[in-house]
Amino acid sequence: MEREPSKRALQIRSVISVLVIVVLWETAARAGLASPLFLPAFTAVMAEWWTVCADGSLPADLLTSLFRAFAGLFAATLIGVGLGIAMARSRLVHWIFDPVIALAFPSPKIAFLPIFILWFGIYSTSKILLVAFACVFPIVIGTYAAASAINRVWIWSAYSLGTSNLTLLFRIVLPAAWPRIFAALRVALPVSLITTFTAEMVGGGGGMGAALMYSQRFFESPTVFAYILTMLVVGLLLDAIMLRIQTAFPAWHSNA
Amino acid sequence: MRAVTDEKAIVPKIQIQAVSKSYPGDKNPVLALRTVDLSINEGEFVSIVGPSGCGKSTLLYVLGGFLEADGKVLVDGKAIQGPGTDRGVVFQEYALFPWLTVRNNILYGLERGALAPEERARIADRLIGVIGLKGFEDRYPRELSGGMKQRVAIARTLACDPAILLLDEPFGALDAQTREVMQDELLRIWLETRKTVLMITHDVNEAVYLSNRICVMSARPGQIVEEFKIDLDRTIPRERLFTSDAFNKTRNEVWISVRQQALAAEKLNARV
Repeated sequence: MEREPSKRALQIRSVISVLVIVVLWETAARAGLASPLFLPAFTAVMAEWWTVCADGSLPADLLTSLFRAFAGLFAATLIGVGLGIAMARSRLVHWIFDPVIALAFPSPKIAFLPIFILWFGIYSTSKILLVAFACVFPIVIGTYAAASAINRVWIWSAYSLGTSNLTLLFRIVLPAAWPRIFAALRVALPVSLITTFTAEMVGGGGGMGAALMYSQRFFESPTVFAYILTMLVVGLLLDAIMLRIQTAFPAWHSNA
Repeated sequence: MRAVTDEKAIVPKIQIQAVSKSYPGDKNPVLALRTVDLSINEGEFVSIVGPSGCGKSTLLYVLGGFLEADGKVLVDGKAIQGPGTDRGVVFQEYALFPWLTVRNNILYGLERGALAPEERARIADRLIGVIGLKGFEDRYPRELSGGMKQRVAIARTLACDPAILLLDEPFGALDAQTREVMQDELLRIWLETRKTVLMITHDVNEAVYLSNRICVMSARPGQIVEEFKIDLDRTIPRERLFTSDAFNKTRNEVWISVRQQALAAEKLNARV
């Protein structure tokens, strides 16, 4: 019973701290502490946000970017989960891929953008592949850790209940590793958004990042801020959805 | 025809011949089992007791086909090829699949078989009744007590109707009262089905109460150092059996044998 108000208090606190920033921002802009070019008022940004939403340009850019982010994340999930499990189950696969992953994981994936553009063009294909490339590492590493830590008595029990190797993969290994795989996907989701926006900012080819850079070139600061705020809110919403899904299956988070 | 039946009567259900097992250690390999020989006849209930860390669980894992070892392990006269549905296993830590409900845990092994769905459901329902968990079919393992979990684990194993039951300290994690109830249930199930059972335990009372034969294992490397044939009347209630002279005489003999091995293990560890 005591948990309930404290959670609510936490939410109120979050709202207040955001409100404080917004109020400070608005006051500073109205007081003329900075020129509107550098810091447009929050209300001006919201008005501009409404305009770009109404004329359909921001929603179209957002759809383009989300499509790229999700397509890349989807490909990374298929490859990452498959490879992570293969590495956990086969010593040979582990030997082959472990050094490659150790090398590529800490590297800045955006550095590969020029090469990806050269190979796959400036539109969606290069962006999707770059997102997949950036997201596959946290997913492989999370899946590998999850699949190597599966309770051995689950695997032994499954075998003595007549499970074949292929069935073991789908009926035991995947569900047993699922909570930690999902945690890795939660890490990869913001990576997919960051990579998409950054790649669009650097490489153009449409989407939120390209529109933002375009507005900046024409000194349309309210538009720039409107796009940035949209990116923040979209990231927050998507992570909240992932958290909801994660806590919706409590049965998984136990060791029976 | 006669020769065949005779041969069947002679060949033990389980034959463990000169089985040795070592694990890779820090410097040298650690020998867990040294040339263990054990034969178990069909319908026998054999317990292995011994000091902790003597390799008794290792022996069960080898017989289950989970670990490779030197020597021969034969079931019905044939060498085992990894794990199989002929050997059902119950682990101390329950090993239920936490993402499946009670019913789906019990159904899991049946789904691998050739039975029709209605037949599987019938078997699962019957077993849920046998273990007294009607009304808990749709619960997840995390919602059950230790005793209930272990009942589900036993039902899941029995669902596949294995000829052999391998029990690895099945009641070791349960409180004393629950353990007694579970022992009574296991005894009842065994008396009904007469499956061949190999149980690992360090509870001497439990071993004497349930087994036909008790093998005492030495400290690591594990070897079977003494065997006790148990010839008690299983049909009399637990209270009368436990207070009978015959039970206590056997219990004391086994207990002293195990204690000697445990003391030897202490000495060995102290020297290291």
